Amino acid sequence: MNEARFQRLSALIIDDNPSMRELIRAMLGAFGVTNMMDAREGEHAMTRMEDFHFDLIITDWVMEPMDGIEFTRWLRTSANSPDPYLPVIMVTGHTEQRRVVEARDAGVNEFIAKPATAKTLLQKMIQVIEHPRPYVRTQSFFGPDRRRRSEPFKGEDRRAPPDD
Amino acid sequence: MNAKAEQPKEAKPRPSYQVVHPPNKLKDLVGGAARLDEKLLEKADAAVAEVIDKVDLAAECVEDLNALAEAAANVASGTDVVANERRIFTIMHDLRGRGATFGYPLVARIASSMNRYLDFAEPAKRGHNDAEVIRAHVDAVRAVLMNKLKGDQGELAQQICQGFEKITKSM
Repeated sequence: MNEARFQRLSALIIDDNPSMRELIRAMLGAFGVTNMMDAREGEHAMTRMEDFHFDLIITDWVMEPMDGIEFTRWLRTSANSPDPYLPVIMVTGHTEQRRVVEARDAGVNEFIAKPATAKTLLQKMIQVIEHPRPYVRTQSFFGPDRRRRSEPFKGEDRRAPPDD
Repeated sequence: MNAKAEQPKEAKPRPSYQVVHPPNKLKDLVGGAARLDEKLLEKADAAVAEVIDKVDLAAECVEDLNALAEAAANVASGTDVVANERRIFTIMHDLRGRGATFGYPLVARIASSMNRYLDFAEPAKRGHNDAEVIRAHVDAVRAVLMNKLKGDQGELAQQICQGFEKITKSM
């Protein structure tokens, strides 16, 4: 794979911290993404989306006035959303399980704990490209399937040898 | 006769959910298999190192440190304690991520300790003097950033962090 693979992607980076935005930009740029735009927080991102088309969202969680969770919920469920299926990768300092669940419930596709590394970001991008989750609509939820796909183990069934 | 078999079969409820498989636009744009590529990662790591080198976190955080000091003073004086603790939590959360990202693991560790403490229980129900614990964490973060103490900073710094964690993990 080379940079040319990602040249046609356009990404929106949402973070209230300019240095974090620059860091994500640097990673995406190295991957070959050339169409990138920044937004300071969720409402700013909504404005951006009125005028531009994006293929991928990379967002922080804690921002004001609109945080990454509220933004994702808007993207998934609002009648004004330009694309409720747009993949969202959330980069955040929140690592507690209940926070991950909250992000999933809002419709986040993939979750990266800070400090974000280039390897993790690329892995998550590959995940949304190669193994996209189907979307589920219930009375109270719309977003990527919150269950991890379980795949049967195809190898030989082995047991660990007993301790010596 | 099996009584259970005599009961009329209930109609299966209609599924209350819908599964949608949207077209994979990203895959179409990428135009082939997306895989981890070591050369791409090397290039990205070099670009990241350049950004990290350029960022002066201490200078960027002056406003945050002042806001932390103000909020800590408000907690100490009993002014809007819940709102001020929430403010401290939010700033510390942000500093934890930025510290870990931009070469200040001590900031990340102290901020984590602070937020573990704040998250544990409501004000005045944590078994310690909230104002003192908060003040100590806020001062420590300021000291690390103002003195640009990047990296782990050796044994003494680790002991200080362990001191905080002894308090905030003992609840």
